[in-house]
Amino acid sequence: MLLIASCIFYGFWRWEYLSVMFISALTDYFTALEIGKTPIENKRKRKVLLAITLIVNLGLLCYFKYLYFLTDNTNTLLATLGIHYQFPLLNILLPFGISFYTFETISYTVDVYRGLIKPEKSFLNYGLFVTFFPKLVAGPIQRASELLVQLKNRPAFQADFISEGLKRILYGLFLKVVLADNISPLVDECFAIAPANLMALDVWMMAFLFGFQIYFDFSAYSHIAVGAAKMMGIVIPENFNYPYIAASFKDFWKRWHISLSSWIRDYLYLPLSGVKVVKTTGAGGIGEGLEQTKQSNKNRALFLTWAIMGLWHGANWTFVFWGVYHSCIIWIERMLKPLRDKLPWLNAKWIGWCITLPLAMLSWIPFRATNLRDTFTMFSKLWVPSGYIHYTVRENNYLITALMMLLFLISYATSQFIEPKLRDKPLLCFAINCLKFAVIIGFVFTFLRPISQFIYFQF
Amino acid sequence: MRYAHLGILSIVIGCVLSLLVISHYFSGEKQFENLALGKQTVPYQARYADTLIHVQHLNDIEEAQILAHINNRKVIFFLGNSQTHSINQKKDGQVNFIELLNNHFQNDKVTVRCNSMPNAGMQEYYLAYQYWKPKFNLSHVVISCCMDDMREDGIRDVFFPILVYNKYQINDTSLLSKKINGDLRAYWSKNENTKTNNENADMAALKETVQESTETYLNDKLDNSWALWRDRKNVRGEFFNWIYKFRNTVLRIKATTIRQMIPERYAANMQTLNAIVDDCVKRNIKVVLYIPPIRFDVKLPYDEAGYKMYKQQLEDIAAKYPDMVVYKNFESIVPAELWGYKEATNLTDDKEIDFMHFQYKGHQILADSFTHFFTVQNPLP
Repeated sequence: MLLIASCIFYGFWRWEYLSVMFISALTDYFTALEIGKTPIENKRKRKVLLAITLIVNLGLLCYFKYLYFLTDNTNTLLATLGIHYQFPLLNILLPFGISFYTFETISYTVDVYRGLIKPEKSFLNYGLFVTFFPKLVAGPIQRASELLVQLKNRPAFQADFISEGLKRILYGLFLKVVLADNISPLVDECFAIAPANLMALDVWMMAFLFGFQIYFDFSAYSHIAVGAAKMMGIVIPENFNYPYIAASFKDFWKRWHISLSSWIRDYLYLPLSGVKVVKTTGAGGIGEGLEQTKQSNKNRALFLTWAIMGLWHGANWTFVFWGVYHSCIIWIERMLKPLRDKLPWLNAKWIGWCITLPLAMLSWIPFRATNLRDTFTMFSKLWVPSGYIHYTVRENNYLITALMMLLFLISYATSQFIEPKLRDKPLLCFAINCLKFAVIIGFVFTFLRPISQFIYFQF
Repeated sequence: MRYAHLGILSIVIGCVLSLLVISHYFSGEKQFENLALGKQTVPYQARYADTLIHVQHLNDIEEAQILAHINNRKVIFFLGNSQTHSINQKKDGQVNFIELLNNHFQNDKVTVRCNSMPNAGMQEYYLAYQYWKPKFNLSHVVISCCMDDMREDGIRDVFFPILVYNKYQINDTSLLSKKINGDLRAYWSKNENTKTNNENADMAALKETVQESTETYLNDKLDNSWALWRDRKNVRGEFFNWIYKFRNTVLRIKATTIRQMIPERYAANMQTLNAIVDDCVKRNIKVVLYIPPIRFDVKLPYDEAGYKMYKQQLEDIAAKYPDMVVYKNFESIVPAELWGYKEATNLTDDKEIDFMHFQYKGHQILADSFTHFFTVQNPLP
């Protein structure tokens, strides 16, 4: 039933693209079964089977996501070299969720190859793992070791599944339709201004404003995914944990898109660093794995991993730049470790936060800018002193940005200091919840509009 | 388990509470575009023989009316902002200066028509001018050049529904027209299949999908059958109005606060104004650029140097084409007693000085000034 429901859910977008998902799923299902049957000593056959999986999955991903980018760049290169041949540019529609389910199917086969899990014999169970609708189009990216087991042994219905799930869905809807969707036109308006006309203050404000938009938008989807799964008794790991409170970039990546950074850690970063992976999990984020790596491979793995992470987000050099930007700052953080050991006061969380927050926000400029030229123009504005006195963008955008920052900090403080104290006062908690949900439902009801897209659907 | 039921109960109670509040406080039709006018000021669109000669929201009905009764006469076409279509402390039978002026010229070879929008930016003027240009035999284009509106930017589709619905494109190859055509194309894609709902923001990937048609169908169905669903736009309007007042309260912004220019927008608006003037001159259409009346007995809410420079720039535009373009400064023609107050734009005060909207007698004075201009200073042919 759930498998059919998930297929119908995906088909609501475009049913013909179900075939792409099933090609990926069937390839992994059969190769994983074959890997499972092949003795560990027969390394060659196991490697060939793994290679088949990788070629099919990454081939599909490349075709749908990167063909235009590759062709366009090849044409530019040919033109630069004076060769007048141009490959035709195919504008291919990107199937929703392909980046997410491709990583899930790859991780399944790799885990079977590593001997960390046994291959699933029932295609219905495996198919459901791939297509499970709450996380299908924008994650969180799931591991077979965590989700498949739950799907096979679903717990009996409990009333708190419904209330917990509904709560999370309502939080998600609030973040999406009330906050992200109302910030979106402001961000679009700012980024429509010619970068040459912007001032330094504008660039900072735009970085923060888009930082909040993408956070609200993406974490909203994760809340809804976690909530929808929870209503069926399935636990999906959290994808966000107040990322803008991070005291370092390493900390940031334990809090932002945790399922992706954990995937990158287990299937790219650690193998590239020469570390044998003995356990994989969708939790923890990339920061968890950094200590285990060998020094000699650390930097190579760091830059390569983040460049790939950037490219995963989109077929544009701006995303690669975004990834490299993050890797550079993590590298600098590593280089400064001896200094921080000598001067422990530098490790104070508030100092780390004051440095990390603006730098993390600034990284959203290449993420949102149309091209690298605009990115560099905007970054160059940061060094013009007069740009800190004047501004081009309307004052309202500055105010909204400040309000979002305030809301974020209040929300964090409430979750850390007030909510724990209310837990043993159920009636007071009940009264507060009634009011809280009245406000949330009122806002969601008011602002809910049809065909409002999540940013991460395009990845 | 007991707490789990409390959890569901809190959501149900929250849901009932919120719907009750919305239905109680926000039902009924409201026009948020003119909310800034306050209760003292009433919007009024000029008429002749019971048909509109003055449009605000460009739709089929208003277009049919404004094109009536022209009888091959030349048209003096006004582009204005809320001052043009508002009368402070209006009494029965009082009309605006557009109607007074049209009545004056009724037996002449010219007639008056107007398109006004609250806080109209020059790009909106440009679009309105381009749209109306082929429909009228224009003798003059009269542009209200309000310093405040030079802070505006872009096109608000709410004032041009017919253009969006008919997929209108400006028939011109200038960069400005291309930009505005791009904006209009964006609005079409937003509104395709959902004529009744202009708030959708879809993406290309969702075009013609089951998801799109289902969501649109559900939304339209709810719009037509559930009053509370329809009233949601009122709540949104009230909410944004409250946010606006809250902002003004926190930052102590009042009607008298100096409005700073936004250089990028100012430059874009000036460039657009030049484009309108150039196009008019090319077509042998005379242009009048006028500084609209403003309340002059209190300190102006403008940066003095900026305002002076702005007026000088308008004069310079006129000086470029001395035979075709005239600059008129009407800033101080309406005396202090003919102005009023408006609803406060913050949460603490009851009312504020209204710098923009005057009483009927002010409209008479402005109409007389234009009459004098068109009959004595720059006589019509």
